[in-house]
Amino acid sequence: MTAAVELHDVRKSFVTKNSTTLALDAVNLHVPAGEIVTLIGPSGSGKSTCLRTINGLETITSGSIQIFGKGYGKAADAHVLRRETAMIFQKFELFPHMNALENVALAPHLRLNLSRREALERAEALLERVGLGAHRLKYPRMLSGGQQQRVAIARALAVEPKILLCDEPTSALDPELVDEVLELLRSIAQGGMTMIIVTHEMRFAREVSNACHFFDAGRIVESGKTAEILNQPQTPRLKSFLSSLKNL
Amino acid sequence: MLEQQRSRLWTLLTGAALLVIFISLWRGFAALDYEWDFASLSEYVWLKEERAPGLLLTGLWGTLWVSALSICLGTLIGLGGGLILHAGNTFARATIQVFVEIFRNTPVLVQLYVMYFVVASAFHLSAEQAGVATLSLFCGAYISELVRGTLLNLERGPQDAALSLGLTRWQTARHVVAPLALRRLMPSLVGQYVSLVKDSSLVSVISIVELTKSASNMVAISFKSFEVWFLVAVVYFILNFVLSRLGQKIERSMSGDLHAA
Repeated sequence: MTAAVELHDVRKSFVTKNSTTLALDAVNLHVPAGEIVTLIGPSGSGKSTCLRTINGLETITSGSIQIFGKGYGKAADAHVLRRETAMIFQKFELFPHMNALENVALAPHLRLNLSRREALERAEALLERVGLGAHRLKYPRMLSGGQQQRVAIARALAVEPKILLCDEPTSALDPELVDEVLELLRSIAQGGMTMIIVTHEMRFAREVSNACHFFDAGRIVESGKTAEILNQPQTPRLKSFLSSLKNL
Repeated sequence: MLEQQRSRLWTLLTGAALLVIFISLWRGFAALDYEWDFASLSEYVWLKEERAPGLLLTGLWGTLWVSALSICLGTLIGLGGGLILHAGNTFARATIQVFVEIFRNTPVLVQLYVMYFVVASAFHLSAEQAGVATLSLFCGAYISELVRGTLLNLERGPQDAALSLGLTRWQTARHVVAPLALRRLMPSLVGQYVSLVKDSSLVSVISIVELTKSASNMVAISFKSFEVWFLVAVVYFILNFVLSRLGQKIERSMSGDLHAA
């Protein structure tokens, strides 16, 4: 079976005036369809960058990315990647000049060529599903962080992705709003979506993901079944990372 | 408590400043020993016998159309220039940069003379065409910079979101970047327009009939320079005040969601 997402030897370097930084250093990632994968690691370890390359928001320096077996090299069209994936962001990134309904309806209308009415109907149904039917005419600034992230999730689902990429979906939320978003992501995960989630919520990772990859300094240092690597970390780096989280 | 004291201090200081200004104006006018006669200016507003607009109104019309046309053309030039500065290739960018620097760092008056006496005579342009062209380019140079700065500082997040949903670059520009950038641009754009209306007075030097030109004619005929310039200043003020308010209104309607609770 072809993997939903396959990263092969992906490297990405930033060149600054007097140095080259390797943001991703020979990353290999294999995500079977229907699997929930979490990427963990300290800030700046490359996990978010890795996620963004899968969506073509970051170009790669070398290596290859395949989505359901379709290739994507350095110079290929990012559209190939975006056909099957959608993304949610740490800071929601809703379109501030559109209300919730328009936020969700924009991409179905423009990208899937639904008529304006069909797109709005789909948006309405999705907002209902994320529990925000009553807020459909509100603008992002009038919504709480949790509500904004739920709109963002509805917006991502509106393009019927096979793969949902989540970039720290709860990091920018007040603690009491985290659960409503995790609850929603949990229900999407149970629906059979392939998901790659960058997260600091170890409890959530443990509960929802099959596999887990630990990033450090641009490399995947340790991977495995989530419960296994979180319970019995093998590398000193992961051990110290996990214990630093426990001390919080 | 401290807050209250500070507020009272500000009221006191402002009041004192106003008093000083008022007294100096009062003394100035008193020292002038001048008999004000605004009534006689009425014939410059409307010619009763000919049933035609007088010098002031024809001048006002001139200022209106010269400014409106220059604002429209300048905005187009500015949007194009700004986009090139933001995303053009090196050569195009450098060219626009040179254009912007030249028009921003020389006096409009000099630009007008060059345009009128050099460019216009080469291409047989009328004074009006030369005047509008200069003001448009001048305004366009400033707006180019405004547009470039706005696009540069625009947050990347919503653009990333739009791209990640599979929207094309063009769709992202049209549905996400443009509305956000325009909203951010509006206040400085209105400021630019207001200053253009004032700068339009300079085209009087190449004998285009507008408010300032009319005013000097009125002074030449009537010798009532105080009244005429006072009146003209009031007209400019009203014009720009209306323009600013209009801009604020548009601004508010564009960002309705930001203020609505």
